[in-house]
Amino acid sequence: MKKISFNKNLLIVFLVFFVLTFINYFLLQRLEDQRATDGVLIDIAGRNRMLSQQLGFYAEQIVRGREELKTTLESSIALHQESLAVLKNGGIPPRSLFESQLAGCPPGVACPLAPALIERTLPEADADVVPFIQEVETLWVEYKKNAEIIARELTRVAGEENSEVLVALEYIESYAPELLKRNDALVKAYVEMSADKQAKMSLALLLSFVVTMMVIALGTWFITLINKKSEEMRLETEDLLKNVKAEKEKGVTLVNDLKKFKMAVDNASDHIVITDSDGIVLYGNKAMEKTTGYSVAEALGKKAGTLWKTPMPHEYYVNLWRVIKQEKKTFVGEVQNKRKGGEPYTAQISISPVLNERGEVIYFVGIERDISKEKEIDKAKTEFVSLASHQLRTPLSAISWYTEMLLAGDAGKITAKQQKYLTEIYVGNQRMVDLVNALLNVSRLDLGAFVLEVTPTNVTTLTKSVLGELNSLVVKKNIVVREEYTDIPGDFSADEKLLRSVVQNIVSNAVKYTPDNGTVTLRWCVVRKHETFGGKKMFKDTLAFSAEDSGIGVPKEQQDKIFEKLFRADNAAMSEAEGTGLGLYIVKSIIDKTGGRIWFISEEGKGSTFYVAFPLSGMKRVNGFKKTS
Amino acid sequence: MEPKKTILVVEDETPLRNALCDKLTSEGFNTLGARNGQEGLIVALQEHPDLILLDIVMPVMDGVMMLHKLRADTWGSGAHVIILTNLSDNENVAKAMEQEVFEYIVKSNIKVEELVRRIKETLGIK
Repeated sequence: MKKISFNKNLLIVFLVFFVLTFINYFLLQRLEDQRATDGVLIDIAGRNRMLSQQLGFYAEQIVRGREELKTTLESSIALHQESLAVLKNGGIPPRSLFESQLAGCPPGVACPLAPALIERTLPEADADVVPFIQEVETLWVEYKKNAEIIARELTRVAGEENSEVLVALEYIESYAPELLKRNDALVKAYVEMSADKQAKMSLALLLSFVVTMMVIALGTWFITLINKKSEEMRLETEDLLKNVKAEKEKGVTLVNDLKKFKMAVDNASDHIVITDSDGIVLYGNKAMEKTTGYSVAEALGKKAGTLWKTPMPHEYYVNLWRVIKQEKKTFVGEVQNKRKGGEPYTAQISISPVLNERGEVIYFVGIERDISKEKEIDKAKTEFVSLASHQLRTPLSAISWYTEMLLAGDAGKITAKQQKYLTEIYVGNQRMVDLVNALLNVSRLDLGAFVLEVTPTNVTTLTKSVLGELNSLVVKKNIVVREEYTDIPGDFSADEKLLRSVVQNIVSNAVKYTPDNGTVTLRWCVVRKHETFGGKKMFKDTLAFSAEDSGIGVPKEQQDKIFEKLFRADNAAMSEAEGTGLGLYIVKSIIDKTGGRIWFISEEGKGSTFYVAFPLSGMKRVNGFKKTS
Repeated sequence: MEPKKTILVVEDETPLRNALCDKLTSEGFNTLGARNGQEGLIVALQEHPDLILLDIVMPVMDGVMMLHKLRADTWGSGAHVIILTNLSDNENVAKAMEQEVFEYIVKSNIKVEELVRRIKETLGIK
């Protein structure tokens, strides 16, 4: 488009240029013509002036006796007359002068002189000189008459001078200067007229030249512009080509990267499926074929949920879709699936939505791992733990019971020393029982092999019961225990045993690690949404428990390890209090798995406060997996 | 004078069974022993004890099965049973709980004295 318009403009410029060149040529031609014509006219006028002088001279000579000059005078008169006629006719001899020649032209035969030329009238521009011509002519009429008298009549008639001739000569002599003057003025007028015309013509020529130059400049500018544009276009094209090359290289890199990604995903050991926002399968990898038994070709375009029959409850899927499509979060869970052949398998699934810039779901990426084997191993472990518990506890129970019976005197009176030794056996055995219990609890929690039995639980009763068990220690150490129960419900939905385990561990720690005569304060209260508890803002209505002690505290540098398995703080290990390093681990596991939170503040040597928060709605099983915070 | 209450101890571990029988005898109960569920069921249906202390994990017939069969009997459906186990928190206990047992006690977590107190409570003896 651009190119065409450039060419068009250029064409116009060239056309104008040609026209102007022609005009210039024409003007120059005209100027030259004019100059020639004017030159002729000035010549004629000049000759006229000369003739008028000659006339006077010849007339005088003739009167003095030189009769032979009469012919010359006559021709001078004729020449003057002719010159005047030519001047009157604008430099062209008048028709009358050619009449003899025209007469010689037979009708119908082309005349050598074009009538148009012959009959030309005075050019308008010559009007300026007309008055001067008339002035000359007016005088010439009389002058001519007198000159003709001198030429015609005899100077002497019978020896006497001819008076008529003398009068004529007198006239001529007296008017010669006037005729010369008038002729002179005529010449001047012609010269002025010519100069004026030439000036005008020169101006026009100058203007024309200026315009031409401008047009040339414009044309040059256009050509430069076009060159520049074309150079720019060339550079642009070069750039474009370079870019195209670079893009191509980039594209190749991208394709290679994508190939790598695809190969990685294709060959990943986990089953990976990409679906659209409605769950229609767009991609499946090799592992998908292996776990589900469906080929990728079979799966494409089908709905992921219905393809592999999943005997999970309806609510499970409702929740799944809520999480991934409405909350737009990753769903993690376990699912019982069936292969194409109907063989069941257990999978750990993770489905993540992929969002576009506007935050809309465009894809789902589902990663599934067949954990059937792991599940089997888990089951075997659980069974082993179950068996070990039985095997370990039976001898421990036997030792415990027999020692107790001996101590009670069921087998007869015992000595003080025997009682002391038996007590040592009993206490030692009890520690073993505690350790085994704790280990079993840890195994169960780690395996997720616990059953959450939620019943309405009275936390006041539960806490008082825990304190009852610890009473002997409390009394022995002379610890003041304060209890505060503020507006708490009597029927909190909890697994009583697990909650008891939480409270028991925390309270027994508080008592154990508080020196004699110290103080332990237990508080139960309800904290409403957005209110603060233990320095944290609650995001739900919360049932809150705190245990504050004036104990040894947790060293600052070890505070982050306090919930780790088998960890005991240095100062705790140094103290006389017994501990397995499992209590707080169990507490944290239980709380994490039942929807609660636990944290603490502590200062070494001053005491600790442990905070526990459960949703007021009750304990709820958090699906399978350990959270770290 | 109230007649002596009879307690059946179904427990495969002889030391534990003996310990319990000894203790309960010294506490003034008649005691019966059985080494597994099968024996326990026979003794229970013959003797109609006032209370059955029942272990879960036993050879031949386990406690859950015995409880199931006991509840099928006219007398057995109303018999007092305390589960006395080494297992806590597993499926078997959950099944046992469904059969209306009075209580279940983890052996290693309880003193004999405490056990006696709970038995007396169940039987309404002060």
